[in-house]
Amino acid sequence: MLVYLIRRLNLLVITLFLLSIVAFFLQRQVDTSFINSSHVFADYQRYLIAILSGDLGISTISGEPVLDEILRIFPATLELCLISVFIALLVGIPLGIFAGLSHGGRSDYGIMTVTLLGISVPTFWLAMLLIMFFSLHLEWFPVSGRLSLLYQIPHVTGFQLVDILISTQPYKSEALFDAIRHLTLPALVLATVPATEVIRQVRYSIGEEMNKNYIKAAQAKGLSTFQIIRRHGLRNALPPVIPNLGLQFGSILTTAMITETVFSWPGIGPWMISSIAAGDHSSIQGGLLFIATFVLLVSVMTDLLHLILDPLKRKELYGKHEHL
Amino acid sequence: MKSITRLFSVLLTLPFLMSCKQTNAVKDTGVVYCSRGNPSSFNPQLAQTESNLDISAQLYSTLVRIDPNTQMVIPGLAKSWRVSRDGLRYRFKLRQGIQFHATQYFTPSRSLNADDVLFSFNRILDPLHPYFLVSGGDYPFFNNTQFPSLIKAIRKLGPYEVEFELNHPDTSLLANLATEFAVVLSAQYGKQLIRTASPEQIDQLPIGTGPFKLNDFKPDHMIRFERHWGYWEGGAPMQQLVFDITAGPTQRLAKLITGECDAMAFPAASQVNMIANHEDLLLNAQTGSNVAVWAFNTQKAPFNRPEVRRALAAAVDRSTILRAVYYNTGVLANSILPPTSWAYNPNVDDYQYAPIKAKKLLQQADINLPLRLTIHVTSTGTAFNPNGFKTAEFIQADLRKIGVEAEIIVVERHQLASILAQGNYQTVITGWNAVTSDPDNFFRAQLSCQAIKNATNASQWCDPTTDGLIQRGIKQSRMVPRIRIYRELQKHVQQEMPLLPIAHSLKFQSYRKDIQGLTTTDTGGINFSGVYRN
Amino acid sequence: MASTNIFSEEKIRSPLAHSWYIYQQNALAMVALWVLGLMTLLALFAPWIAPYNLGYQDVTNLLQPPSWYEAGQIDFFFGTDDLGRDILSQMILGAQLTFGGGVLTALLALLFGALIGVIGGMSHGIKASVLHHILDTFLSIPSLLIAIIIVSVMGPGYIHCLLAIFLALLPQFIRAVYRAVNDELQKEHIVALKLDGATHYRIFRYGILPNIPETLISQTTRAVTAAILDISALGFLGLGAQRPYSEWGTMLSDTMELVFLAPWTVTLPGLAILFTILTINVVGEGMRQAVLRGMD
Repeated sequence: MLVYLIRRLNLLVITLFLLSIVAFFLQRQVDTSFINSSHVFADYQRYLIAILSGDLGISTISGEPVLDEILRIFPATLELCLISVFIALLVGIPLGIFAGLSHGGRSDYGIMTVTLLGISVPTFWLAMLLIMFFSLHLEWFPVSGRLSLLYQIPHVTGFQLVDILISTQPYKSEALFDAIRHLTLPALVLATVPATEVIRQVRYSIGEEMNKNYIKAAQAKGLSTFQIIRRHGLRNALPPVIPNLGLQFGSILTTAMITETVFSWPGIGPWMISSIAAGDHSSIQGGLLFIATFVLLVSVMTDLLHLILDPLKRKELYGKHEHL
Repeated sequence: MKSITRLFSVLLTLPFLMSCKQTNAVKDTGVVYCSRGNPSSFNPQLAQTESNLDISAQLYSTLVRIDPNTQMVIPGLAKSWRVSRDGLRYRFKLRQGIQFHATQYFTPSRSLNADDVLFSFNRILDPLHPYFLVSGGDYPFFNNTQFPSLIKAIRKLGPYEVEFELNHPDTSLLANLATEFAVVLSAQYGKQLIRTASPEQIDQLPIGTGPFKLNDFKPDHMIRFERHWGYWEGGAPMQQLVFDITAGPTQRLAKLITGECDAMAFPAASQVNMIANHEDLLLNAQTGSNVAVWAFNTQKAPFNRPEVRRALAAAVDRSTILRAVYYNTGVLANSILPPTSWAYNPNVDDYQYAPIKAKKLLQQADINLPLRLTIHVTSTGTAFNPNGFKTAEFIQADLRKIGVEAEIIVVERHQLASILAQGNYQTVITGWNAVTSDPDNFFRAQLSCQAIKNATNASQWCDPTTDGLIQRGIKQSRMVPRIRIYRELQKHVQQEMPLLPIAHSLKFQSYRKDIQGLTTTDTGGINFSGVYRN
Repeated sequence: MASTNIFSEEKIRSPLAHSWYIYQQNALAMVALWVLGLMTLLALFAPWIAPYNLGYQDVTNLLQPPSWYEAGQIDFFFGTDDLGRDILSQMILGAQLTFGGGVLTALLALLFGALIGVIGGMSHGIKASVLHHILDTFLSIPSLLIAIIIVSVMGPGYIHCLLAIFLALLPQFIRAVYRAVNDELQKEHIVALKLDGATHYRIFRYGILPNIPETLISQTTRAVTAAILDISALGFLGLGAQRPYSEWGTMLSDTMELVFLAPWTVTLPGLAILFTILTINVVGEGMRQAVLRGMD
């Protein structure tokens, strides 16, 4: 266990190190302070010390420190991701159970067709379609932003919903309502891919579990399907779902960046795209380092979490270790 | 199972239930305007273009104003004025008790008086004024209208009385003072900023006498204004005014449809039909005082020869451009002056589309075909041309038919200004948006020798006949001879063809039906002081 | 039924032929395969099939609705855009860029990835271990993000975008093949081969190669769909193919402006992407199942 932990962290460090070299050369292209000195190695050392102390450089467009900018806008992205993961679970688990129970049946077929559509549809196009139908045709939802500009909610955590709840404005509930309306479409779009993933996984594991002998025993005891699922099926089918979503975090984040661009959601996506368009290399390398580090950390953490929660995986690990 | 199903169905329909439109307190006391871009500064005196003007009427007031219905000059900060018989002295009596904005960064201790008027206009005129060079010292509107050479002096006759003395009579002075550029700033605020050694703040954190004061500005995102209770025409009905800065016209319209915005700036030509048919939206069309042109650099061969210019002009099928680029939201231009102007010459021959003749003309002029030329154009739409790039593409296709290979060079708007100033180009697609309704503004800015320096003369056109006619036009105060001068000028310009007028664009404003009391000005400004929700 | 043959000849198909036989039983997958074949032809011969060429503009027919609308006309089957360009032609030409480019990139990544993966998988020691672990960590960064990063370094453009996606897909193939080879190597039949004194090549050819198609198929399906989605996403974000090239994502980002006027300019290119990905997924899934069952 400890060996695995150390090895995993070790690798994390190595990967981040490689990333920092890429980012360094990106920065070197533009930063004039590097031109005078000829030692690449010394420069890199200086750069490494700077980024380790949290100095990702200054944006050439806004003149603000890059890290400050990222920390200000990243919560918006994270909020969107978390909410869509929540929606994915909310929609995916029941559909997955349903499909798993009627394995091979008509509703299973229907759900799996929808799932196939879900992984095949380009996110940005889905976003445009939803905007065309729900916003422009039905006029139900706003097309952009996180909150109507008329509400003034102080920026505390950066998570809009939390900020609204802790604010002291008299129109708190009104603002919360408005924020949820803004959230709905982007969160639904973003939830599509993780939801299909959850459905597939729950369907698979429910299908597996339901064929096991202890379930048959339970059936023989006269428990209803609902009771069986609640007592036995879910308990065994659900644990792998959450770590798996954690591993998917990288792709959720990337999809979020695209979704944000379509919905003008003020997160890391539009910020990155406009930095690239403007050739703001400091922001690009800062964003690159930040996003990559964040994704890597999340993946390592979910891995460890999985390890702690799931004794089977732990055993597998030891087994593998002996084998090598 | 059932209870879970029920829970999920409730959760799933929740957002849909919430989506029903509902009215609430904050929305009722605020209005959101989808504007096009960041203001380059919060001081309209410095503004380059009409798109920087939409903040002006909210923050500031001018000495006089133009009545939107009658087009007559009416009182503003000045409650009355008198013009001397020789037309050289304008005396303004100011209203008393007009309050400036009180904000976190400035608290006024007195109301507006003659010192503020002197402070504001001397900033533009007097190179020794402490603020003259602040923020660059460039006042494009005032330079274009040759304001500094017109004004001899501005004098304070009493605490509430000022006099403008002119070097020569100019009938367009009042119209110029009524534009959103000619605002009055606070002299007291100016003094405070000198003391704190931060003079440039005067153009970033504005203090004016307008219906709203600045609360917050986030570049590329929004500008928040708050009601100025002490506004001299009475506090505005709306407590909050927010400019939602949205660059794309599609996004602006989308926000207007969903109600995220209550009014939008510059609907695209292509959207006009759709807005007119939408049940929640209103469309307001005005004939704009503008013209889009394809200008030839007349200082460069072969464009220094009128026969070449005429040939190229004859090759362009402007009706296709009007249909495809303007979506028929404009009229074909027969002169740089719109047909609604009183000085318009209806007898000028229409510009003909004649590609065969054009080719023949080029051959007669001994031009070796294929002729290569470049067309400079800006990437963004303007008030006079919804899509300069698309226009260029159509001109390019037309020119190919007569054996002319055109290369389109796309530049940013600010880049174009410096390219025009350096004169390093062949042809350019640009135009003019008149800030006053006076015909002089069209000709002087686009075709006078003086305008080359100001980078508004896109043809680099400097011709004694043209200049003479322009000067005679401005000095003549009697209407009939003045009209005659401008008619002659139009004929001369068409003969020489330093530029090809393409179209006059209609101006549109679009807003939601529940918005009342929104007023717009001829010069592209918008005023929210009287807006309320029905 | 009695056999008329005196010598009962038992046909034993090769696993590959058997898999193909199973695949043929799947009607949906067969249809999808035909569609895929047609699309490949379309992509290969796009310039000859498209009714109008790339630069063609008909200024007298701007924003024509598709032919099934009342105002539509058959000359422009899918209608035209705001510059009078035929949408059908643009989509056919776009098939070359989006679908063709995606398949090509994925296949190249397959080739190089499999090569490196096999070499890595067959070798031992530090070399393999380092490869394994670096890949492991790098893979937690999704391909589109890597592609965005690479494009942001090299600058936008179609070729850069293909290169970026190639580089982003490469590690996935390497790891998938590496894993498959490595897992295979642990099995007893390989040990048997080794004991027989087989060379590396023999082990690979007879011990491993027949047993990794399933991995390759599912990985390739995933890579092709990912490449197509990534190409169009980069095009949509303005980082991929630029106008006048009618890459499907680029077309979509262009038509954002026409949402109100000409909704078909939004729906059609998107449908093309959806349909393509769907087809590839169906074919891929069919192949995977066929191979799995063919092995049994």
